[in-house]
Amino acid sequence: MFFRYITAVLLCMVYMLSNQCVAQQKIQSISFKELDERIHQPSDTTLLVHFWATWCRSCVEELETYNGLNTQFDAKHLKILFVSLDFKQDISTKLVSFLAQKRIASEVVVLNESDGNDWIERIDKTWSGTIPATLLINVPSNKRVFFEGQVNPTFLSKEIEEILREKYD
Amino acid sequence: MKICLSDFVDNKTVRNIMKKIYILSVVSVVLISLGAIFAFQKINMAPPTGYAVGDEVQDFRLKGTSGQFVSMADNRNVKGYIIVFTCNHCPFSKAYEGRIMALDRKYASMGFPVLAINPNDPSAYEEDSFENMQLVAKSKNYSFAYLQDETQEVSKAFGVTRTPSAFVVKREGNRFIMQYIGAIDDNVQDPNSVTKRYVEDAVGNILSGKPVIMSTTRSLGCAVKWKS
Repeated sequence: MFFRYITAVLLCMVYMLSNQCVAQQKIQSISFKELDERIHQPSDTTLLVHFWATWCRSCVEELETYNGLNTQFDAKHLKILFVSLDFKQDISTKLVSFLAQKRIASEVVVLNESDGNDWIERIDKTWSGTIPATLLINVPSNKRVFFEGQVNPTFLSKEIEEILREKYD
Repeated sequence: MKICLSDFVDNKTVRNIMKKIYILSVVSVVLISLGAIFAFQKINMAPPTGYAVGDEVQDFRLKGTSGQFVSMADNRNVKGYIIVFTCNHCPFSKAYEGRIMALDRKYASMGFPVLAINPNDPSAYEEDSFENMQLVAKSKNYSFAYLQDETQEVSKAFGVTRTPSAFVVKREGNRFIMQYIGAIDDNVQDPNSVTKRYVEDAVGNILSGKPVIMSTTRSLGCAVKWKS
C-alpha cells in the first residue's frame, strides 16, 4: 500500500515536471545581448519588435491588432517578433496559456533582464520604458521607427507600409 | 606632358574659378555641419517630458487617503521628498509596494519622507479608485501619504508615463529642486537580488551633501491611464 502511494506521488511529480518542461520549451528566454544581435542580424526584410507583457493591460487590449499583422503583411517582407517582459514566475503559468488562448502565431521570446536601465535606451533613446512599445526596422536600409503606448490599427498599418516601401524606392 | 588650367584660360579667369571653388567649399562645409547638427539633435531629441533634474518643482495640493489635502510645503522640517507615482492595479507597483514602505521607514526620520501619488484615471481601473486606495493604505498601514491626482495635472507636470516612477526632490528654502528621476532599484522581480538602489543612493548622496551621481534611470512599468 505504502509503495503504491509513493509510486503515485512520484508519477504525479514526473507528470508535473514534464508539463512544465514542455511549456518552457515553447518560449525561448533570451538576454538583451541576444535580442540586440537578432535585431542587427543582416536580412532583407523589415523587422517588427513588439514589447509587451501579460501584466500590461493596454498591451493585452491591443495585442489583437499586432496578432493580425501576419495575415495583413507577407512574412517575406515583415518579420514579427513579440518580446514579452513578463515576470519569470509568470512564464509557465500565465504567459503560455495566454498565448495559446489568444492564438498568437508570431514568434514570442521572453526578455530575461532585470534592470531596464541597462537596455531600454539601447532600443530607442526616446523610450521611457512604458509598454506597449514597438520598434520597426527596415534592415537593408537601416531605417528605424519607434513608438510607445497604445496605437490605433490604421496608424500601425500606415507606419508599416511606409517603412516597407523604403526598400523598394 | 603637363596640362594646366592656365594653358587654356588666362590667369584672371583661373583666380576667378579658384575663388568660386573656395566660396562653394566654404558654403558646403557650413551646410553639411548645420545638417549634421540638426540630424544629431533630432536623434537625441528627448521625448516630451516634465521636470528635468535641476528644475524647480511646483508644489501641489492633492487629496490623501486620510481625507486631508497634502502639499510639499506642509511639512517645514523636511529636507526633501521621495515622490513615487504608483497605484493599486499594476503588478510592477505591487512588486515595489513593500520597498516603498521600507523607504519611508528608513528615510522619513532622516528628512526624506515618501509621498505616493496615484496618477491613474480611476474609471479605467476600478482597483485604482479613491475608496480602493483608502482600503490598501489602511490594510497595509501605510506610514506615508497616498494621494490621488484627480485632475492628472501633477502627473503631467512630472512627465510621468508609467507606474511606478520615482522622483527625489530636495528642499532649498521654500523651493523644491528635482534631484533624481527614474527607477526605485535595478530588480523589480526579486528584492533579494537588487544590486543598485537608485533612490537610496540618490537620497544618500543628498544627505551627505554631494551631487546625485546617478540622477536619471529608466525602467519598465504600467502605462498611466489618462482621462480622455
